[in-house]
Amino acid sequence: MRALTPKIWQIGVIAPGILIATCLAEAVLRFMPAESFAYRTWELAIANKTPATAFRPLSRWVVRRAYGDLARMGSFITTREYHDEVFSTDALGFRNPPGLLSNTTPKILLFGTSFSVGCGITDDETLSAFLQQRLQVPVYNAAAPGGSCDLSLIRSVRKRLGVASGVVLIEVLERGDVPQNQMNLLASALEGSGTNTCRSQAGFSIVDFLEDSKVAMLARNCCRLRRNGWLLPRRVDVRERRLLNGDQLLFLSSHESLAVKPREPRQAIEHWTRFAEALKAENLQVIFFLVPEKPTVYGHLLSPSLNGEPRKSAFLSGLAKGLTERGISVVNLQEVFWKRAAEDLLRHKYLYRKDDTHWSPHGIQVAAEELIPEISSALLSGTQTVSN
Amino acid sequence: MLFNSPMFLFVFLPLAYAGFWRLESKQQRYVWLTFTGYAFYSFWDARFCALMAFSTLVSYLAGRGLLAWKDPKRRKLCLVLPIVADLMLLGFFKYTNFAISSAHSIAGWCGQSFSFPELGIILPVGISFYTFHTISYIVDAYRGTIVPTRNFFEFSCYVSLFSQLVAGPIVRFRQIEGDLEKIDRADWRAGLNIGWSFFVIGLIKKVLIADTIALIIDPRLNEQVQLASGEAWLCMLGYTYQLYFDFSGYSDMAVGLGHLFGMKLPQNFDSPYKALNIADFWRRWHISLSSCLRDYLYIPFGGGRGSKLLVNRNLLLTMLIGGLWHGASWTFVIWGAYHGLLLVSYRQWGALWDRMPRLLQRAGTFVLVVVGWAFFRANNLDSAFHILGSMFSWNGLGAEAFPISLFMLLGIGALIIHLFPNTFEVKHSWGLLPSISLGALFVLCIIIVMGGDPSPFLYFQF
Repeated sequence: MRALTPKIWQIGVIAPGILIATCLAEAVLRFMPAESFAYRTWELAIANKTPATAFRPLSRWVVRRAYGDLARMGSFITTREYHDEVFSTDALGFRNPPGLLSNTTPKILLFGTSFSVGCGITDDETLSAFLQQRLQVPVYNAAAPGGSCDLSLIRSVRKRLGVASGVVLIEVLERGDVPQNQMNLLASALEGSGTNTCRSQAGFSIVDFLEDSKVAMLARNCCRLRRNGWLLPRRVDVRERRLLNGDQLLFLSSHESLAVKPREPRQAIEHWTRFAEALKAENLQVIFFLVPEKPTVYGHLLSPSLNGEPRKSAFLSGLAKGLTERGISVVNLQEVFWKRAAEDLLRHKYLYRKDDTHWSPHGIQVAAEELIPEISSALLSGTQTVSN
Repeated sequence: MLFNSPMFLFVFLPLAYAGFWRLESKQQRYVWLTFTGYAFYSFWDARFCALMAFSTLVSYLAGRGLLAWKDPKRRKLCLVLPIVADLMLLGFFKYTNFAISSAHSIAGWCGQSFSFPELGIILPVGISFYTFHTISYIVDAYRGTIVPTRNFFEFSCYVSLFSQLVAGPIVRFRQIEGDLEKIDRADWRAGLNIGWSFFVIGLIKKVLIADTIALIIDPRLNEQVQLASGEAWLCMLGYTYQLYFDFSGYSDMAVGLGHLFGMKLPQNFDSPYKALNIADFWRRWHISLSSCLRDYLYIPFGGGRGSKLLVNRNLLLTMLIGGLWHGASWTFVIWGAYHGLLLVSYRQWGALWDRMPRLLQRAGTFVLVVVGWAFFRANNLDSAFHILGSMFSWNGLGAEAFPISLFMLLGIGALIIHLFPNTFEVKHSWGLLPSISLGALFVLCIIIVMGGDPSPFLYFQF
């Protein structure tokens, strides 16, 4: 029997030993903050979200030397644009300072995608933070990752916050499809008993436990490095392109095709018109703001150019025209982004982060400045309606 | 659940292993192995456990019938009933959609309309394998090759043994009957080194070689674009190696797991790309399947007896069914027919082939097999002919589309496949340095398993 007992250096001991060592490493790493393993706060916010909340309520993540999603997806190292990020959520799981709702009711509700949430942006540089700072009225950021918004979500948020009247800002992304009630779960959770409901639905899953492990995060980082285009094909088709001023910008190839082959806006016009009319009947004023994709803004400033001469997104222009004709407030950011992108080129200042699909603090600032006159007039007319 | 998933490596395997060796009696271990098999299967879809349980129960009862009755009519009934039940399960779940879509196509060609709706039937993972297990059990019991077991859990643990449940090897009852009989006397230490050695080598083959090749060639093969000639050959060569490392890696892991649980599973690959001719290839490739095809189809059809025409018919029919067994698609039928024709041709003109230098025989067989994989890999017939068209017409090299790592992997793969001994030819009693090297490669595998998306085994789809 002694002959059967494996020796310490034999594979029968080494292999299970490696599995045990991995488990021990995981146990030790569980005590380290997740921030040490993440490349940006969004990664942590998404990893910790529950099905019934936009993000984990009352959380705060800080990541130093964060960088963009395109640099990450395409395993670009030299194009990374490092910055620090803080990401905080309130009691409902949306991205707002925890004290925002303590003694005030928001006048403006913001709904949208990762752009409005502020993906890749620190807390005080988000669109809602900037608007609040400039307008001096409380702005509630109810944007959630992945989807746009639906009526049930808006109604639930409004009910939870006690908003009688106000302005609803809705982001429509160039690539965004008409939403198909993705937020119903979120809305029903808000309708229920709030954060407790949200948390109770999270449950414990061993699959989540394994996927969220620190060892897995480290392993994912290692695995991504080999998908760098020359060792192995990139995981996602991200392309590095040169601007006329010589700077490098990263683009997602699927977004590039949007700039070349625009979509038909008819369905979106009908959907958002119905949407705005329903909210108007509930004493909420809607302002849509249309956000172009990075290649639409920078396509013609590339060398070689992506889409020849400057060409507007037919989808965004058509949507803006259709909604305006029906008396609905729209701010199409395409025009101003085009103008500013060209003007800022020599200053090497960009509306989108060079290594990210999302906009930069500068882009948010430009968008906010464009939105402020429309919001101010909406707030004013809202006040007049109430006083009448 | 995949063998190359964190869930299997860090949760399922340790629990199954610890539970197995903690239990002592034969019956307890049978029950435990059955339970772990069903638990393993339920990670894919628990609803389909009932199908496996049904197939198991029917075959077990038929086995008991064969044990009890001497009357030929009753015995025949015990043979036919479970086989019909299994084939009906297989036919419904695997071939109904294929039959309907084929009927649609044929009606379309004839200018007729055929309005039978697509049923959207889900193919239960591993159904081809476990039905083969139960059928082989019943046929062997009927023929008297094995004595059917009276112990239900011994039989159910044979059918649901997680190491071979969803992608083989197709282990016949007689091959592990002895190990199952003395399962309570197995010593955990006996299979530890050899078991882990097989498992680690299999994981390396799968994760480091097969999956890495797939990452490079799959995007090109899935794009459905016109490939340059060099590119098409490189893709098919890559797929040839990927398929071998993937499936033989899986089989090695299954064999390793068998050793860890006190069972010796049979060899499934015997360096198939070293084959000297196509008949030799089929003696070496997926041995457990090809021997089943031989014993349960080719020989009952008449085998090598009778006229040349009859023998050729038997060969062709066996390979056509073998092709269809792999998947409900015309690509697999044509792949089976292609190999059937190659076998028939070798039977006719084998003497000429055998006169060639051995190196040429080996290279020729390899090229013929590579060409055949085009049908096996392609998503549809159009795609298969696209690939073959690119391979056999010159429209550029196109090798620049691939990263350098593909050429490195193909080089390493070629060395292992064409020159090195296979996992059953090595002793697995590694010294210090090879053990540490295997350990280091195992760490790399763990990193990829934890950090990448688990890639399913190619044979899971069958």
